[in-house]
Amino acid sequence: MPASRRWLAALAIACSATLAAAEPAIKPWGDKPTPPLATTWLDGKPLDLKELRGRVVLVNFWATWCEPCKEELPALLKLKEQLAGRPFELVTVNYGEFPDKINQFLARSGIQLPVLLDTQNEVSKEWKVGGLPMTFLVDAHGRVRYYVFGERAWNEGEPRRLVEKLLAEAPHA
Amino acid sequence: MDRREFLRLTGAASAGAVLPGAISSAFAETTPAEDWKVFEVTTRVEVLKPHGVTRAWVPTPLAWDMPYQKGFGNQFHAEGGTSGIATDWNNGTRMVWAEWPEGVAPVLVHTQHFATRDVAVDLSRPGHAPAENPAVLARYTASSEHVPTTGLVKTMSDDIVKGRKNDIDKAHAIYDWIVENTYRDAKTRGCGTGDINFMLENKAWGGKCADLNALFVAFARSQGIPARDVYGVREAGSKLGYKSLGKTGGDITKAQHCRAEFYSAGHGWIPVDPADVRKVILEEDGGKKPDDPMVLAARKRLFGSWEMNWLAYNTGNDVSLPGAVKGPVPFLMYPQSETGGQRVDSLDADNFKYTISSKELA
Repeated sequence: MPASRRWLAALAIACSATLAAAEPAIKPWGDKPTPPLATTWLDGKPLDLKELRGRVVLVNFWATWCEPCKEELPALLKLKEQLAGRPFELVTVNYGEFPDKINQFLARSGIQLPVLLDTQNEVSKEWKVGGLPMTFLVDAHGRVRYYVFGERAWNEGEPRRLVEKLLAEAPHA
Repeated sequence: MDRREFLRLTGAASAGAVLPGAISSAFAETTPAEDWKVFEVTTRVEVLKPHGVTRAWVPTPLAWDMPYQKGFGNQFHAEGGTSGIATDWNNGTRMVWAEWPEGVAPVLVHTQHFATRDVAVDLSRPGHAPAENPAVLARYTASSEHVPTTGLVKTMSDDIVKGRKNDIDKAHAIYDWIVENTYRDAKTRGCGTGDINFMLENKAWGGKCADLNALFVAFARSQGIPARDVYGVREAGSKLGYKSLGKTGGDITKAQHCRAEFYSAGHGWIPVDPADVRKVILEEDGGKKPDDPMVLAARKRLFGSWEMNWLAYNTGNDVSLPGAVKGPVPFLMYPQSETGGQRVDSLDADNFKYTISSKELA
């Protein structure tokens, strides 16, 4: 088995063990406005959440030093794989690290992850990220609908059902 | 304070020495404690991948003296750059700053001398401590971005102190609530962030000292009790038998720790540390139950006293760093730096390297 797949397999085991122990509640976002997500991708290209309108977007805040974040990644990648071809986007925001550290982590783990930069924690502050991991589900109209602090198995159970619910509401789903 | 004013006030130089500050006017009324111990703590910081102008900031001992700590001055040196010292008398925050032009290896060395002694307040009888300045009490009762006192904070603290009549009883109820309902989370990075709104909204009761003691401060202030975080670093081992509450060996680079104080008329500022009770539960001898005699002893002791194997830096929140491009930091306990207009993560050893060493002199 290649190193990257061994890493993912190990993470998946750790992930399921952790997730079985505690499942933080996914809460409705309510009427609060959707914070801006104006930043750049890891490769320097800019992104604005408006560009993702019409698609359900899962926004996940993480960092390379955050063990629960790393345990959650396999489930996120699996969800992305399961929803290929549907109006869904996985967007991750790295909390406060510089590109060299993120690139090192991605290379070492052998995963491909869509990563937005937040080296100065300005995006995290707008989204009121006070702990990691934190994940937000944004509907096809660009509105945050749900959020959770703590890792969840996004490819199954309640998290997956909530993603499907938002996909069903999306035009041309 | 803009850069120009900052330079004017501090007299920029590549090296300097600054004498200690004033005596606090509101000493707690303390019971006799052991004699003073004198320490030397040296901090060396280096920004590893500088690009453009680089700046660094390092906290010093409290600008004012307290019954438990006296400062004897700071020496600092920033080869190839300028450096100075800045003080915010509103919250006792004093820091050494340094700035280097592009092309210089940015290294700052700061040596501080100070004395500490254990502090304990006798809460079993009325106190006779001089009254604190009302403006100071107002400052430490106020709401801020870092220390909210309304909404969920107030609702929860109302419930916690229900039936308690005076400030000390209310503070004790808050202390007990923190000890019984929060926990030290080993996965929390550094000392935590002290984001009270986040903790309350998400019922995130796990954290470290900057979280758990900040919760004490916010709850106390929301009840009108003056309270403040005191940020610092453990500089020696515990002589009370708590391995988890001290740092031996002289390398204190990762020994940052914050405590809390609240004010009660007659007694002055009263030391507390509910976060360290949770540390004993998690770490002492591999973990202890809350009703273990060692935990119970720590719980009793840490409401009203501190073992002073710890250096108090400051009580500042939302601290502006003189000359910084970026905004304030929630608190100044770790060295800080910026390079090329970007703040560098204080806990990112690949980009910002620092060591802090301690030795007892007498």
